[in-house]
Amino acid sequence: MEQWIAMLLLISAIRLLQIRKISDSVSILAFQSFVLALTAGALWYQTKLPHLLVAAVLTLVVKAMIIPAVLHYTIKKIDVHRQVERVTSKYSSLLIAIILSVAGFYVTSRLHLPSTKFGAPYLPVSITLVFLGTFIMVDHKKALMQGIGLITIENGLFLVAQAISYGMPMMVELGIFFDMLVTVVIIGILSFRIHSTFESLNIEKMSNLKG
Amino acid sequence: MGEFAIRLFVLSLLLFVFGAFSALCFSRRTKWANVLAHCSSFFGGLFGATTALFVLSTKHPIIVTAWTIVSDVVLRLKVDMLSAYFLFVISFVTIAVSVYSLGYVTEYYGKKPMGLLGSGLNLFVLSMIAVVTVDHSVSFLIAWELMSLLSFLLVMVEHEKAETRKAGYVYVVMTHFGTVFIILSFLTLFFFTKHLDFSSFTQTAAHLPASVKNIIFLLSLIGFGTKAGMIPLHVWLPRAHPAAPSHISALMSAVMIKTAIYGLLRVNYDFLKGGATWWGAVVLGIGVLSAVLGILFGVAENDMKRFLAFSSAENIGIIFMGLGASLLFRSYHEPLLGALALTALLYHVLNHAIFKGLLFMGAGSVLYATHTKNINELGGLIRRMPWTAVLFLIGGMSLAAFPPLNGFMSEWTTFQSLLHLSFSLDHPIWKTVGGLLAAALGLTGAFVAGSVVKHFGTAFLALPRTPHAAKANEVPLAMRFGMIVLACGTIAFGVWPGLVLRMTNRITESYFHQSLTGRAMLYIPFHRSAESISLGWTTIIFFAILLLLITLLRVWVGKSNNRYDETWNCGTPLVQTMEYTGTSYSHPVLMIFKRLYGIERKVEVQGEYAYYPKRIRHRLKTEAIIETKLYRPLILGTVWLSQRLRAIQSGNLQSYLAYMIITLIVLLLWIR
Repeated sequence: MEQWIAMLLLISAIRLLQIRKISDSVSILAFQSFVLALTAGALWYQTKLPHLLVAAVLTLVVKAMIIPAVLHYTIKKIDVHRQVERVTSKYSSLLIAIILSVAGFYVTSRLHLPSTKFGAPYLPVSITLVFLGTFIMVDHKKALMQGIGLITIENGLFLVAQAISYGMPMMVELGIFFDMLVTVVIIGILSFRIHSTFESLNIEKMSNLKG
Repeated sequence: MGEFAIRLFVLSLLLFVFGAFSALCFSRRTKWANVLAHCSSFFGGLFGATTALFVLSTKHPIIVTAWTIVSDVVLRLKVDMLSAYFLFVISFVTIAVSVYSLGYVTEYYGKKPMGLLGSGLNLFVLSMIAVVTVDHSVSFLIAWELMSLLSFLLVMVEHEKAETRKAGYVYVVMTHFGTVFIILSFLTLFFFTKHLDFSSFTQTAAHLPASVKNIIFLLSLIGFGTKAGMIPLHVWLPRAHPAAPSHISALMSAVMIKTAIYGLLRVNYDFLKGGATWWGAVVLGIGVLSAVLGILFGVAENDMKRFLAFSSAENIGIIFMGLGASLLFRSYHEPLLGALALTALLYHVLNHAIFKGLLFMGAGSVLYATHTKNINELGGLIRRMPWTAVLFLIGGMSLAAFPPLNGFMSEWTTFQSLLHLSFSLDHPIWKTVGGLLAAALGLTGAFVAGSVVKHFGTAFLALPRTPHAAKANEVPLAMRFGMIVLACGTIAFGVWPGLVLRMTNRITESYFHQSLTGRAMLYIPFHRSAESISLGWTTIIFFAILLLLITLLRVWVGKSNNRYDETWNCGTPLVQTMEYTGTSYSHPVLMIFKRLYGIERKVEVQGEYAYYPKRIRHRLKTEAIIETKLYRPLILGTVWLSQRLRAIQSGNLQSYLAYMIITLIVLLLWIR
């Protein structure tokens, strides 16, 4: 069961590299966060630790609902229903994503991280998610996708924390959720500003700022 | 009684802090800020000097614990004998500089924020005192860095001039270059002794393996040598000293560069307790290079303060020669001679601080009165500013090592220790080198005397060359008084070397278990009476020879018949521009050492006929050979490398992110 959920997460992250329109990414992200909430819920069911339930509910509300809503609103506002732009082609990015996944699984097997009984299956996927999130940020050229990559990294880190020690202390968890929310709002505003300044969301144009 | 010394020391520190804050609080009221800042630094210096004398006379180190920064790093001030000696040097010069500043800073009224200037001076002195008294490597580095930064800020007072900004930049780069090496030397000590405080270094560092000691020695030599201004790391000296306000350059040149000597003594004597023979050889080599090259560059200068800065490099060279000789004697197990050389170097530290402070103040007074430092625009100041002229001359004579002034005494002691290299060491190399070094020191002295004559003669004698020299007025009383304090020191420490020896003996006792004894007044005493020099006798003999010569001449030539008349002037009226200039005075030296200066000479004759020129233009361009041959390739190489490195900074967000992920993966693969 855990393996299947982990695979879903992995596929959603790889799917983020294959999308055609930016607006697609938001729904994939919402789906990823939903699965993440499921993992937290499953862990709560297995361990009966109360703060996991809180984390699950918060993930569901913040990451699977509010954040996608904010991103959706931003996309609507700056009207970028257009195609995504990538540095690599669709297939080579798939290839790199697979290489990164292999690297993630290999690294996890070497590291001998302390892991919990129920969280262990998620560990390789969670590290792979961090890698893939960074790769999303590197690969995509549109500013909004950088934000989505960042949230993927955060999802990966959330899962690492769960796999290693059933999540972080409650206060830290709450802080991170709040940070995420603020980050997304800022990403929304920044994308809007970048769009209005450069007439484009292509971050390659930002190298014009270099002195 | 120890309690009393501690209270006095704390009071002196608090006075500097008070001076710094009160000057800031009254920064609106220029006069108040000036008086408050400089009075506090005056009394701070007074109490500091008293504390130092007290510690040196009672032989009891005092310890003041101020603040536990973190559990292992305690800001503790420990005044042991070496610290006390340097504390005395700093405080003594501070006393004079404070009085002088009271008058000098009136120049900046309304132009510069007086609160910041006064407060900067107080904090700068405080940081120097901290450097020579703290007993922990972390707090030492903090104090060292504070001292560097504060002096940098003070150099930048006249930041509206592009030249000053450039000087400040060179200074801050060089001083940080040095600090890197100092940090490395302390880190090496930490790595091998597992401690950071000085007392642990003192106990354990001497037993380190020889190779480690060599590394520490070299690192500390480069690090402290940069601050001291040894050649070829001196490039900041002739830039920063002229750019700073004169009372600051007096402090920097007289005292700040001596903190580097303190650091060297602390590391090499206190921690490492001497080392291999080649240490002394290296220090001697650098010393002789600094002394000869420093003054050769100085001779060519027409800017008073630049000349004094080069002469500081020269005097650091002399101090290094003493240090090198002392290290050598130590490695050959000659404690008495080592003690003599150490005394010479410590004595010269004090003497150079006094006469160089005096000279910088003198140059500052000239600048104050005429607004120029270029001696070719001066002249005839002795009539307009007799006090400054006499005081400058005293300082200059001491710089040129004239008996009975203090500069002579310490240079003579250095000379003696160098001669002992050939007399007392049973090694053919030292037999030769010792004599050569002494000869080099003599050569240096001759050039110094020449440059002093050039600067005094051109600036103070003859007729004024420009209107602002003609309209100069004597400087305010406070400035004269500040100079008089140091001039008294110059004479007192010259005719009474025993006073200094009583202080330096405490240090030689602790490192060599030897002290120099003998009658104190008018003597440089030594263990064998034949080697002592009596200033009283020297002076009497000197005047006796002079008298004899005059009598002989009188007998030989007869009564001189003088005729007072106008100078023959080829039929044209005499004007001031016909006077012998400073440039022409030093020209022969420049021609002899053409190679060294990289001289470019151009004579342009304008007019119809070559034999009846209307105008002759003579241009002399010198280039600093060390900078063009040594520094420029280094700088160009660094710039080239940096430009290659810049390729990785593309400005592209994605490539930056790619660096991150690559680093992350490599890191995760690396650790197990």
